[in-house]
Amino acid sequence: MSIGSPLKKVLVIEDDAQIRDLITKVVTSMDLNAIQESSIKGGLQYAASVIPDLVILDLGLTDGDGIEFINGYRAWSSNPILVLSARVQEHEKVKALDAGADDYLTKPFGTAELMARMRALLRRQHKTESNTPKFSFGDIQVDLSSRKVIKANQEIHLSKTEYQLLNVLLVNQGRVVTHRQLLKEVWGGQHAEDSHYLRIYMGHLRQKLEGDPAQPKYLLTETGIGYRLDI
Amino acid sequence: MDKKTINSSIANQPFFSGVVCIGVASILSFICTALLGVVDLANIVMIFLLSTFLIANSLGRNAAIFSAFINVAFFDFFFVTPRFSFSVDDSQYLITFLVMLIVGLVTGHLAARLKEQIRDVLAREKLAKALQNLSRGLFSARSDEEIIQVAKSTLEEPIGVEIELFITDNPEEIKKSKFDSQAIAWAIQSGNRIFHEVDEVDGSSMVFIPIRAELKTFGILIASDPTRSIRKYGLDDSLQTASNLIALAIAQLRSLKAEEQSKVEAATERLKSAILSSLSHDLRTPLTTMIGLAENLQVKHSELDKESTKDLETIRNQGMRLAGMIGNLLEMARLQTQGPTLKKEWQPLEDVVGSSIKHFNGAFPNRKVIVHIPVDMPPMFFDEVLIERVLSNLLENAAKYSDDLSEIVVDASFNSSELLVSIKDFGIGFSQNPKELFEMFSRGISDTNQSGMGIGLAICKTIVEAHGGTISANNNPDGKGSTIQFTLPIYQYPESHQS
Repeated sequence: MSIGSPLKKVLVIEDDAQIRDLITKVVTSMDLNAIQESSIKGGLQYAASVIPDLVILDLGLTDGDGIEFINGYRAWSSNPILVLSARVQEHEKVKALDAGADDYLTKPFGTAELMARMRALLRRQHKTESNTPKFSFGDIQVDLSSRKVIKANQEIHLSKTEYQLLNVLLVNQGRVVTHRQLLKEVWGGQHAEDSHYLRIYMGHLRQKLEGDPAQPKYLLTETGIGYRLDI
Repeated sequence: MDKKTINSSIANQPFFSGVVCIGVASILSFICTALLGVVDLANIVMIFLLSTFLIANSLGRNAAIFSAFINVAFFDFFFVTPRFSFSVDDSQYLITFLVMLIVGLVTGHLAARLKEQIRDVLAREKLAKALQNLSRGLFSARSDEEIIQVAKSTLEEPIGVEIELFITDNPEEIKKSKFDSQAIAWAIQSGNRIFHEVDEVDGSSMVFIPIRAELKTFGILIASDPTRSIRKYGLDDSLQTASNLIALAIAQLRSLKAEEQSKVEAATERLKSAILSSLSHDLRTPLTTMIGLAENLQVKHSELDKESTKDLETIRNQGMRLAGMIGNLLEMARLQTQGPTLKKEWQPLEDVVGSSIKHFNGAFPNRKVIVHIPVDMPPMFFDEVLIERVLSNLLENAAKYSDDLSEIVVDASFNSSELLVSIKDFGIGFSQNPKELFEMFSRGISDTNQSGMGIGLAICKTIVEAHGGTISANNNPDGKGSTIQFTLPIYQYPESHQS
């Protein structure tokens, strides 16, 4: 972390000036420092010199696909990337997330939503630094060090797979984790296409943890993309 | 059937052959009489036998037989004592006559057969060459017209038949030609060649061979032979081979054309989806700014009066609604141009119900949705993105046509073959015939103050039907509100997936 500025830095890479201004306004209103850029090339250069805490990246830039930026940036930084996309096709988002983006927003999005996502990503980054094994959300407490899951003061028994699934989601809390990433983490590389396993176990996990499994509060589905633990 | 050769038509006349045989025998007798002192009778027999052989070779089998008899007669008459009489002193000569006759007949027969075989081989070679040329020509033919031209030029002249080739998908067209329409119809219908030994019109023998490949009839080949020898030397079989070659060439040409066509279609498809994608981008970008700025103003200026705050809220909401409509419009355009491409996967229903409610709550944060899904619901096989779209659209539809405070109920049930999902609201119901609802741009209520384009329902119908399900709308029996329900087929969850 650089010591010069006390404010966290957000690099905004967006080729539409109006939207760039809007995002900058939102970023500044959150007491963060916004750096504006409109191209992949410039974005990569800026990122290397200012080392942003968060990157907000439009996928459809004039000088190429935003995925190129993600690939370049992920080569040396693990700081969060929030992707903006005007494309409706899910596979575009999956591609960006699999490449290493942390979350996405589909245009048009509300300011409140943008702020919420930014906060979640910055908080997550902060949490990864603190590295705590204890998590709590709603009436659920999870201790990854003792492998205990407690809901409303009752210990919940999870199967090995369910526990691993929860573990991966907890470590990635606030992030969208794609089907492929989850399958790889929990089942291993050879099952990267068998997403029905994942859906069935996610169903079990919801039955055990969520008050109303059909309207989950924490274990959220990102349709066609993956899952997100929202706490 | 008579056994005459094709080209030496003069030798076809038995009278001519007879005269030649008698002539040859007479000349030989004359010469040998002159040589009688010098040449032995045994050698004279040889000379006569040689003449039979030569006649067989040049005039064929019948002439040879005739010559054998004539020679025996002349030999007896002119050379065997008593000369100039058919009576025989020495009975030994009867053996000579018999041998002479048998040798004459056999050599004549053999020579004639050899000649026929040579002729046959030559004719077949010609056919084979013609077929070779045909297949070479067909290889470079690029249109039906070229195929017809190649077939005519390579077949007609070399094998001496007239060829008429029709390539068309419509047999009626061929029937209008000068040829026997019944034979054409029969040939095409049965897929076999039909012979006319003697055609009623021009007296030549004809064969009608359908052009067939890959169980399809592309047309018909009609060959007419003025010499009426269409079945000889395997000519009919060669013509069948020719028609098979032509059929293959046509089939190849068609599939080449279809491939080109599909390439063009794929390019058009790509263009369409590029247009849709850029349209989507271009329409959403300004909306993003609009909605974002409206929200930003609300947050930043808390001193704004109530009315202005409400106006900003309206700007935001209408922007969001517009975005939803653009989404639907583009989705419909995509479904209509590309057709729904389903990415079906096994999944629990509640997954997609949950995410669609979450999506719905983004636009209608205060609406309460009650969900009933049986606990023992089996995993379903569908495209989650599209089914989420259906559920979101139906929820939004229910919300638009009912009171903000009333509930919306999502009810799922299943039997052995299908899943039934119903979305029930307690609003004003449909005033229209519910069936018309699903036609594009037809709305439930024509003059309501609610925005919406009915296009959402049309999308639902397209998606559900692509999954093999049905969708229907009804007003609730108690007169309060309406229910839209759709079905999806239930598939057997594969064993290998159970873990």
